[in-house]
Amino acid sequence: MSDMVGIAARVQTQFRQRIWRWLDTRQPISAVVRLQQRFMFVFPTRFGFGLCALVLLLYILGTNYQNNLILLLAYLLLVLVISTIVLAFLNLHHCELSARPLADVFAGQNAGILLTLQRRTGVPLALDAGWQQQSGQLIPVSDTTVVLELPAPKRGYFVIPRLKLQSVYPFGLVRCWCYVRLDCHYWVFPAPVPAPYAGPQADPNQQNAEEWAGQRQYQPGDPWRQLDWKRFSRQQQLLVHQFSATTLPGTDLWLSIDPRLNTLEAQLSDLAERALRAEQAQQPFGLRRMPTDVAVGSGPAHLRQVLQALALW
Amino acid sequence: MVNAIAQISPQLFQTLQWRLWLFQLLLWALLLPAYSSWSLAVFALLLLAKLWQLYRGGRPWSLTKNNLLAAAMLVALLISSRQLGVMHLMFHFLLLAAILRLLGLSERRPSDISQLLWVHYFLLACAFILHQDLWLAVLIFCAFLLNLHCHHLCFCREQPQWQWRQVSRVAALMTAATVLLFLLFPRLPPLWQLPGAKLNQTGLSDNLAPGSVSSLLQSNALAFRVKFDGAAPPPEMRYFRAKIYDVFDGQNWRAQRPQLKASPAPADNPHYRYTVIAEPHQQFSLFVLGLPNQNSSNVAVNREALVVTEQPLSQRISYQLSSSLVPLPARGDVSRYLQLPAGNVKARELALQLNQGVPSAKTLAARIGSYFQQQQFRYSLSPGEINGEQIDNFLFDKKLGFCSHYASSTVFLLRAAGVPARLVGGYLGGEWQDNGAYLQVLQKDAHAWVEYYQDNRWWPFDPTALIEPSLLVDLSDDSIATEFSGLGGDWMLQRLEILLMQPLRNMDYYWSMWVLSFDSNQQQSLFGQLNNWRQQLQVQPKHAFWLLILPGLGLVIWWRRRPRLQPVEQLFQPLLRLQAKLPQQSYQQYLQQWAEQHPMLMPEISACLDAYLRWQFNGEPGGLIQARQIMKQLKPRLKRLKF
Repeated sequence: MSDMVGIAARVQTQFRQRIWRWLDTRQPISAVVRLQQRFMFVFPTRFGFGLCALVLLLYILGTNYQNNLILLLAYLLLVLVISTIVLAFLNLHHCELSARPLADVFAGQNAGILLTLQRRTGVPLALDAGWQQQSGQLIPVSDTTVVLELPAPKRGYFVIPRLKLQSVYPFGLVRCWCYVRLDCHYWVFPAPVPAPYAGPQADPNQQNAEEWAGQRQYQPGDPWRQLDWKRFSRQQQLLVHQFSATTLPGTDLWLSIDPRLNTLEAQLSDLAERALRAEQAQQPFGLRRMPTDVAVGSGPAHLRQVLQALALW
Repeated sequence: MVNAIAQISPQLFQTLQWRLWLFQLLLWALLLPAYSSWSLAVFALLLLAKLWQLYRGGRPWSLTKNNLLAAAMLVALLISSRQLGVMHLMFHFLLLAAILRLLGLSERRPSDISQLLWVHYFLLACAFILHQDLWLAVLIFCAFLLNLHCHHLCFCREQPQWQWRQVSRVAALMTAATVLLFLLFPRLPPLWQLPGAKLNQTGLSDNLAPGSVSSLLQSNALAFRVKFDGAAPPPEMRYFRAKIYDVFDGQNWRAQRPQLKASPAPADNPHYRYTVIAEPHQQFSLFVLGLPNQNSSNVAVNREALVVTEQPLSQRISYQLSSSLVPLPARGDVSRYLQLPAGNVKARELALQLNQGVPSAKTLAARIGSYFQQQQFRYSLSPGEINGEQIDNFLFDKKLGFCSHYASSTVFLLRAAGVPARLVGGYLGGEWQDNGAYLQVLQKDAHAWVEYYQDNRWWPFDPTALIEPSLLVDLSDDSIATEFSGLGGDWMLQRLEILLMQPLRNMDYYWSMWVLSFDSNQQQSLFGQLNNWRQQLQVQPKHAFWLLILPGLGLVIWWRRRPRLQPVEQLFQPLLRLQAKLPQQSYQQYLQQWAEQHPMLMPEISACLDAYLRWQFNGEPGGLIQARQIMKQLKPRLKRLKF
């Protein structure tokens, strides 16, 4: 019995993989995808089938009563169902889709993927976007832009999973959907975790988060809660509210693996934490790494370089 | 499954509920004839409750409350199910379900809304069982549009912005497709018998008390309409038979329920071919001229040569007949047409007296007619009540009455003299409408006359026409006054009503003719017509070539060679047409060059350029729209430029 279940599951996964492969040939991965008939699907929803049944029922009713008006209504509903197939398709058709990561994130956070839909004429209505398997939260930013959250449990440099777009507009009778593969990569840095023996040292951002001290460019690791969404939707500029500013004069600092930590992940987390602290202190720092070191430097770009090196360690 | 109302905005949900409420109110009004007064009141109360809920912003009713109410109503309905009949029970169930669903509609149970919409569509179809005339049909289609609109709103997240051009294009295509389906989709004969609507009977009743017809004779309601293919019979022969009253109990004449089916008589010359569109009257009997030879399949001819339906007529019907106006052949035993109750002694004496030395029934009938004329009988639609012995009092005291008095007395006299005779109820005359396109017969054209037996045939005889010859004259609109003058003061009002309603009735007639009575026969003839055209084209292939292939070819060539423009090219097409862009130029440079050459266009062109750049490089779709608008405004000014 368990064998049967196992076989069934294997067949199912194989079948699914074959479908994904088939889809890949239909829609090669690219940065901007225009939705086309080649990889768009339509199928009636349950309500659609219900209305088809109603058409049949009305046809029988109209025939038995020899009532032309009931027949006329049945035909009208039939035409409605059929034309909805086209309308649901046209709602998504020729829509240009592109995605970019909103920002780099640390492991354990949710990666935000900014999805932009564009079309020459109008925007698709009542559209649902999500990931192929796991569901993500959807935050609408403007008419044509949404932010999709994607859980990022592990560090690395990832390509976003297949995107699922679907809509039942305009009458809920027919669902039009597609699975789109977009060429969009996002960074997940190791989560910054202070070493347990280094003494309690909390995030300055959170401790002194009492006074608003202006805005600055977003940096990886900044909490999303502090993002200025309004500004983003207006100007596509990522700014965070800053609640405290500490400036310290700095000297060169070389970061290297702390051998006292026993796992690689813990060591990388420690490194990330120290790099962030150094950057916050505006202290130039470098990273000792096996093939080549990351030279000493400072500033957001440098920090990002170091964190990318850690992500791919 | 994407949920419908779970995701729509609260304002839109409120709007949606208002419109659904409006729709249900309309539905309630449309289904009015199907409900008894107590259920109407319950439904009205429930609708008011919904109104209150919407007005006060109350919470939707809970499922328990709904179910309890529904159960109570169900018990009440099942108790009265006998009187209601299956179909009305269904109407009650569905409307009850719909109203309760709307009362309990909440964003938390999104699947409710699709069920509600489904039931609404079904109830609209049911409304067509009750109403088929043009104006109510138009109203029902309006209700359909309202429901469709609500349906659409359910799947819009926000208040939709109407794009009328797109909507009208889709609507036009859908209408065309529906009409095509209506014309071409195969039609089947009824698969099985369904119960009809149970409504009050109208028209001639099965019991004819001399005097009971008088309320009918004042009704302007439509009875049926007739269209003759070819010649129409003269007015004195337009007696439409509907019922045969053969049993007399001294007060009432009773009609037997018509027995179904008999083989139609062989065609006789001359005969008339005609189509009758009968209004629903909840009875079996239909209307026929003389002896029917052929009939369409939706009606049957019975032994007495009357045309009947298999079920009480609950919706408008159209049937074709061809008839010859000859005396009807008698079938079976005629002795039951001699039955008479006791009483009316004076009338019996008169019958014997008139029958002395009469060679045939025909002469006797003529003698009875001349008796009426000699004795100064008069015609009146309001002769007053006759008490006691009906026939004696009429013949010897009153001497004033209308068709049923004359006909029933004549039948009585004939039977008393030993001649089998029967009373026939039906309609006489009618008015030509729309320049003689069709004959409109109203309830006030109801009439009663006599058929007597001689030489194995039934001969018609109308004693009333001898007293009131004007009945046999073709009535035009002007002469109505004379007939109504006997009815007192309100005939002016009735005349006005006729004057106003007649154009609407004419439209309703064509609606019945073309839409309601479109059946498989007409579909066949349409196919035949199409086939004819096809054959004509085959015979003359040159025509086919010119008609179909050439325009098709032209269309294909045009489609192939139509310029395929990039959006940018399309945008700047008015400018590009006047002055080509150099290949190495960017659009920015090109537009700047334009602005330099034509300084007066500078502000527009620079604004357009700005919008264009925002679209092209910042990815703002609004930029393109703005640029298009500016180019559109620029067009007329470009025409005035000179090169």
